[in-house]
Amino acid sequence: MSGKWKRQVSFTVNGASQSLEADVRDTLLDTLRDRVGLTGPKKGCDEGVCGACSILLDGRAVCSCSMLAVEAHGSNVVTIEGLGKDGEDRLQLSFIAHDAMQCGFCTPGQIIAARSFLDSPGADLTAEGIKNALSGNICRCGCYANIIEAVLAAARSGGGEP
Amino acid sequence: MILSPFEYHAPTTIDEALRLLSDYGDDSRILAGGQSLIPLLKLNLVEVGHIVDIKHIPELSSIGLEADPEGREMLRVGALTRHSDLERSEIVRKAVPLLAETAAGIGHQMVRNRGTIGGSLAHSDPSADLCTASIALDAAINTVSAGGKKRTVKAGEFFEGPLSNCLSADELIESVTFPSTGPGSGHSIKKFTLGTGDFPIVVVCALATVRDGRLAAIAISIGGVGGTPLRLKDAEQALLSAASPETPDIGTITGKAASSLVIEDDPRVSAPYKRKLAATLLRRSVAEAIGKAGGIS
Ligand SMILES: Cc1cc2nc3c(=O)[nH]c(=O)nc-3n(C[C@H](O)[C@H](O)[C@H](O)COP(=O)(O)OP(=O)(O)OC[C@H]3O[C@@H](n4cnc5c(N)ncnc54)[C@H](O)[C@@H]3O)c2cc1C
Ligand code: FES
Ligand code: FES
Repeated sequence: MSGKWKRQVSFTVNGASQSLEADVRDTLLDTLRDRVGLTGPKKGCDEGVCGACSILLDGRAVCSCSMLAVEAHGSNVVTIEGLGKDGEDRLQLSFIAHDAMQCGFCTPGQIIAARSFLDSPGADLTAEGIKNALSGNICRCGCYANIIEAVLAAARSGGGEP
Repeated sequence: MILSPFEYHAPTTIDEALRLLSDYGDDSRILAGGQSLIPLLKLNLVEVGHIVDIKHIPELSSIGLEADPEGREMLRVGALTRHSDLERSEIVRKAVPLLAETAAGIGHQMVRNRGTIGGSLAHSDPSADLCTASIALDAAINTVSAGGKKRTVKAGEFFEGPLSNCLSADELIESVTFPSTGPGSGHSIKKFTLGTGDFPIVVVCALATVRDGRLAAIAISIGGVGGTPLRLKDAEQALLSAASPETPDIGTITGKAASSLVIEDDPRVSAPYKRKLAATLLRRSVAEAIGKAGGIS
């Protein structure tokens, strides 16, 4: 299909400008994975309930499966690949230090959701607050205890700023 | 994956959006946060030729206080105000704390960062938190339709059934206004969900005002038990005119309200169980709202 079913989408992804022609029906998740080549965001449910596809859209965590790529036109998108490019992201290091993953499928989404939470003004930096913030990120391996520890430790050591 | 093809429009003014909606009528749909519409498009439950994305219209996302003709303070929030904006806004937290608390409890963080108040009301899910709260709060829904025709509909008259309301295809929610609830009032929202972040099975909101140790006003609404969220006027009246105003029997009054609800089986829980949920949540939220308002002495 072409013409009116397609749209030029220009946005920033992990700091670099991207411009591509998208089918207006394409989700941002499919576009990031299949067109931009970023496979950090995962497709778990494709309906907004598992959180594996989370990305930062203008600084806030959103499910990239639940928006069209065209809706991201003009926005700043950050995927897990854009955090700590130099390997120094405190949240990522904290996840490693706390063994906060098994298979790793949910991990990009967990870290993106945690980053958005730590960056939000007035965030409740307690275990309860973190559980609430990550309630949309399902971990099939059940690593919740270590994930919460990892985020708490990053929060204590300075809000998880890189 | 969305199968059914559509044309995507991103108007930057209300006029332009209204023109698209009136040109395409039933073959068009407004797209706000997409947290309900995108899943519906994926499931082919909505198939339209034109999607009108209103997120590029700046006038639709403001939060501010104003006075109504009688001089009462009102909170006005634009239709595009996201749940997380309501949750974080100092203005909202101060003027209508029930609204901020309701928004903070919707779905999960990613849903709240995208979902909007206009979308939530227009989607009209009978168990949606904001739909239920808007009824207890006496919200007014301000709309505009083709030709710039404006009208205001009270939340209590807006919903018509599950996923249905009085909006016409070419009508757009512009903003929602709430009377400020201020000092002397106490609020409560209580709900039962199967898991954190799931849509509520039953949700109850209560808003009480206590003056000189006596209950001066109370509003109670419940979502998830009928085709639309409901206001429980009989229970409100019973509480206000209780034989012993110092100690109205909250449990008996809310229990009676729960037993008179028309409740149908739900694929998730049986009707009798839902009624028990309603009774418990009503009792707890009314007691909490009155307590927060200063309590009856
Ligand atoms: C995983 C998940 C969990 C959720 N949990 C909850 C929950 O616990 N409680 C709850 O209340 N909700 C919940 N929701 C729903 C969420 O709050 C939605 O965001 C909301 O119902 C729709 O808002 P939206 O801005 O995303 O609207 P959209 O999805 O963009 O639109 C929804 C409908 O409203 C119409 N519309 C949108 N804006 C306007 C407007 N300004 N004027 C006229 N029509 C308009 C659209 O045409 C469409 O028909 C959940 C959603 C998901 C995906
Ligand atoms: S893939 Fe997006 S929430 Fe599950
Ligand atoms: S680590 Fe396997 S799903 Fe979370």
